[in-house]
Amino acid sequence: MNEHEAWPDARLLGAVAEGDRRALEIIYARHAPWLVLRLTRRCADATLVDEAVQDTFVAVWRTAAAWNGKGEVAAWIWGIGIRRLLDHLRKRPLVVLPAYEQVVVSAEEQVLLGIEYGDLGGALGKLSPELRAVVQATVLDGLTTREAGKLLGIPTGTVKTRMMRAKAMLREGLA
Amino acid sequence: MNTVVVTNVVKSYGRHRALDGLSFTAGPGVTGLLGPNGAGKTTLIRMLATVLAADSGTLRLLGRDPSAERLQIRRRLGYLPQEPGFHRAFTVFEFVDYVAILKEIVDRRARHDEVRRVIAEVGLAEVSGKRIRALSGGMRRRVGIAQALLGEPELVLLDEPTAGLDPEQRLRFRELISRIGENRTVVLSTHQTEDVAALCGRVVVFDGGRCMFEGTPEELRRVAEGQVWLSAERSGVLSWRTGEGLFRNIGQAPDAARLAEPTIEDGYLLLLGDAAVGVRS
Amino acid sequence: MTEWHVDDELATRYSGGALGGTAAASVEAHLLACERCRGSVATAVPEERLRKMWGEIAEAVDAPVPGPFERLLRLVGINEPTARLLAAAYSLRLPWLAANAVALLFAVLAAGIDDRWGLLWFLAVAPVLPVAGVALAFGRGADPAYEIGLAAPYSAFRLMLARAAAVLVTSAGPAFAAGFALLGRDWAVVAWLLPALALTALTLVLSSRFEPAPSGAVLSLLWLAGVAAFAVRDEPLAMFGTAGQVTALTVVLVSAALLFLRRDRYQSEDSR
Repeated sequence: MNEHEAWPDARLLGAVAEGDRRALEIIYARHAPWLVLRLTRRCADATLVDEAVQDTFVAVWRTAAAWNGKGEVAAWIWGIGIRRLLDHLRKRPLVVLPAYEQVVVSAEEQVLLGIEYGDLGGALGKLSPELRAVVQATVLDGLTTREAGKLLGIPTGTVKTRMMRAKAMLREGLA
Repeated sequence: MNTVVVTNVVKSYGRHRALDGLSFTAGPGVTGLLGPNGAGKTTLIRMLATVLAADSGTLRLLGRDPSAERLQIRRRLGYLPQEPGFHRAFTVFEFVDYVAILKEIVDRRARHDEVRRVIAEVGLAEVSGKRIRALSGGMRRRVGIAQALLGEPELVLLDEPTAGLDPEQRLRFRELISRIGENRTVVLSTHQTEDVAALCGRVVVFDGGRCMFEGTPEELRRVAEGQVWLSAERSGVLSWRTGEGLFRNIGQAPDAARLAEPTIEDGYLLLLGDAAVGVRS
Repeated sequence: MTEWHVDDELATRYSGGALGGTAAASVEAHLLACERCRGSVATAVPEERLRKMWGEIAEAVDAPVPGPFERLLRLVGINEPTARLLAAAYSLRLPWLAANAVALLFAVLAAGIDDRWGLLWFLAVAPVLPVAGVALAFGRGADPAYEIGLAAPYSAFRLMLARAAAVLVTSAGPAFAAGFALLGRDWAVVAWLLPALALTALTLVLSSRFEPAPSGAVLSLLWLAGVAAFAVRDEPLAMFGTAGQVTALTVVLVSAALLFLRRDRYQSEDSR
């Protein structure tokens, strides 16, 4: 039945919760590509990314009923996806995460960011790589302090202190 | 080339002759076995499915002899029995998977891929995880067709695939069956002339275990050419009052009768009427 | 809503990994909320990769979850397709296995009540359980997909034997355990085994012509009547003595030979 393709995400997810396989297929077609790209920026190993994406949609199938119906379905999927990637990363010996390792902001991007975030881009660029990594993991990727600590290989306490320092510096930079 | 060749087949149950010297052939495309209840349709289909053997006469299925090469035939066969049973606690996927094992698709992943393919082909992808007992009758019938398609069989046998379906479901079934018949031999039994008109390239009419007609639906229609007429009074072997107040009659038309365009059903009724009433036209 | 969207160039740079951290972060934040832009970056992921991943997801979602008995079969080394075929039989499912255990328990309890008649209860009931299980494991009446299975290449004879063997193991095993654990180590606690095999084998032989369920029922009744007849004549264990065991063994061997010779009759309904 092709009517599924016109359904909004929320309705599809409701159908998935009732065991509709076709709805899952459409959700996958809509959301897998960007998830692949976004996870690839955090992990260069395509095999790991693929596994994380597969796990994500299997989890969507099993837990669709748990979605609270609020906010973007995409954001919910991302929340599952990044955590599944972390699960896979943990099983491996330390891998370097390119996105957390270095955050280089070119002049051109500064202009672009200026439109969206005011001077935030510039302020972020001034942070040390360690502080930037903490900001990205917690603020942008939506991880908890604990998860960010595991990801970056530092204690939870350190994540908290670095986050506080980063906030202070950002406030200064934006003032 | 004919995939199914049945010659002079006889099958008796005690003193009852279910098939009485039946002969017909079927090739690629959809062939309909048309006959009233008790004509021996199910006996014949089960024989084509290698489940029953003939008392006498010969069968050749896919160029092979079922009494000697049954296994080879079964490997290229899909079969929907008249009353397919389902393990009701099974999901659609589990049931089709179970049949796939019986069809000797051993490798788990390849088997599951094939199960997914046939479930999607009959349009049940969205319910493949549902228990069969929760499905409607029409959906269950589609599960039955799905299992008959496992392993891309060259010969598909469907016993009364449209019986008991409502008009809308019947329409979707015709669409599905004609699609299946595009690249293989489908033999289906039915007692509905509409099914034959809508999807069969060939039709075999039989009653009392004998073949009464074999040809295209158009040829079946022309059997009644010149033998259907309209009149103010009841006059044929078979006649009934139409909506326009006139009687539609089938049989030996009187001179100067007001002849009407025959339908497939007229041809079918005429053949059966011959058998029942013993009138030779 | 913002009028800002990811244009082609930005999409290419993002998906190529050429976009720096903060710019990428802004694209990512936008993607979460904008279906249109999710679509414009989507083309960067090869179809083939997406299809392959979907295959794995579909497999994880569809793959049937084996029940406890099927898992047990896999554990003892039975291959996956065979385990599935076995576990589909009603008498190889949990409710039946549980009923089987309860029946045994009652038989054993009865055996504990009285020395003379008691053991007879156990010896009489133990062979009936596998017969009942086998009679409900295959055939038109017990297997809803029997007709479909008959026309399938998998040998119906093999399926019958496999299920019968599985039923024998699952009912004889508990009977052995119950006998030894609760009734002592006397030879008598295994005297039911050959009769059980004989009755089961006879059920299989008969099912080439008749439905297994009535065949099993008739055989069980005959068996119980025989046991009762000897009991009335005050020779309760006569059927389990040497003569009885030899007879049972003979029946087993003859039945096995008949099964083997007539194996083709189980593959279709020609003989009925």
